[in-house]
Amino acid sequence: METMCYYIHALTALHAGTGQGVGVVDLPIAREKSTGLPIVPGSGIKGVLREELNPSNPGTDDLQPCKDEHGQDRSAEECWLTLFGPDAKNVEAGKEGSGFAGALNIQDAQLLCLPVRSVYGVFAWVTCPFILQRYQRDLDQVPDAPPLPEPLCPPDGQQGLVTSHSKIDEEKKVFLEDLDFQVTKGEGTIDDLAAYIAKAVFPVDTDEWRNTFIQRFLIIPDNVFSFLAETATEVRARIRIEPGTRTVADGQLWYEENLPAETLLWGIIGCDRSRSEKHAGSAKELIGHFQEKIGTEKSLQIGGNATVGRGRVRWIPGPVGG
Amino acid sequence: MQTRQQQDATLALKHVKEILQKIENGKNEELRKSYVTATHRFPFLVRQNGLQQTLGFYAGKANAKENADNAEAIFYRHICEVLEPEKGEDPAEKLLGVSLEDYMRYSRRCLEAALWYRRFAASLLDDEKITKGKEGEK
Repeated sequence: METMCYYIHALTALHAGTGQGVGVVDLPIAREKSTGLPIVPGSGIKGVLREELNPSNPGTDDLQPCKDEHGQDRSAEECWLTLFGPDAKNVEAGKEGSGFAGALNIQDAQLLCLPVRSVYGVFAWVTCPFILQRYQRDLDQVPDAPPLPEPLCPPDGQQGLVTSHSKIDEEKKVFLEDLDFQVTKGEGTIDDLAAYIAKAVFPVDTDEWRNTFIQRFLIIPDNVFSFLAETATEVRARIRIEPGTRTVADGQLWYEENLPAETLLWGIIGCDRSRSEKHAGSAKELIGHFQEKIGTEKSLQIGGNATVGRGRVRWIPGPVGG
Repeated sequence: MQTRQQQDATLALKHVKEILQKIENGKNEELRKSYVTATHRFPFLVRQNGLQQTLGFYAGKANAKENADNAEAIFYRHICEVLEPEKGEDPAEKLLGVSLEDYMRYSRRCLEAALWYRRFAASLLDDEKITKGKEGEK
């Protein structure tokens, strides 16, 4: 099994929903049951990547013909099917032979940094020790990923940590939403940690965006982060207008939850050997094709409500190893 | 022992039934509509503005002398029971003095409880049910 890391940087609000909810909002976003933290389900990401690389879609950035490990030609279509698996409907209709599982397994994207409104610096990219611990555990699965500088804990229950170049603090305080934190500046490995994430999320950007991240990086205690991840997501009211009267149609006010623009997530992709009867291929070969086509980053639309401007993201592949 | 959901639902049901009683005893259509709206808006306002701001907003309506028994005032008294104020203590003032941990806990508690008010208000006080009830009496 080969593994690689990927990152998602939301450029607009992102609605990876779960359908009708019975909570505060009518259409909530997907969350992990055990932690309550927001996720973008891997199934949604796989669907988007599958469509993005589909060679039969005109205008898409499709997979090119390639050679397998024995030097045999493999068409773009075969390569694509081996990676993502055949369409179940086509298999049932006998168009794509017998069914088989695609070689890729795309895991859920986990919340890495949540953008939270700040009095200084406009907003802060906030994370917590628990998230960093999980991030490190996932990176350990990717042998070629550089080691993460030791994750840190804020020194005291209600304190935060910012980098030496922080722009979000004033007189050792950070003011988020309606929460104020005493912060320590540039302690331990925080500068290295911020630089690591900045490089991973902005691999080809100039220093400008990396610096923007480093200046806004903030680590806060786990319990406060968990509260913000519940209450600092974006809730938007939507209505439907009655065309005749141009007023709100009866009962047509509803609330939708979104991950706010600038949210950062990470996830892992595993790649197994080919399961296609027609075309063999090792995990290394297949993930090589996938990575080659993905390039350094892709602009994708993920989640619902695309036509009203949600879900435009940068999808950034990380290093591969196995 | 009961779950928090059971406790919240029991309290919300008791309060919404009190409103239902008031409506059925008199012709208080305004109270019905306003109470449903107050319960519907409360959790959204907490999510958008925070608990302190939202309680302050409802408390402002509750303190207005001419509207001392309006729907916002009644709902404010109802939801504040979740904050377990001491006798005679103003719940909004109590919130001013609590620690960050307690503030986060009360915010979550109020949001959880508010959902039951919203549900029971929608199911017991909605137009159709009351209309049907009146028709039945005729």
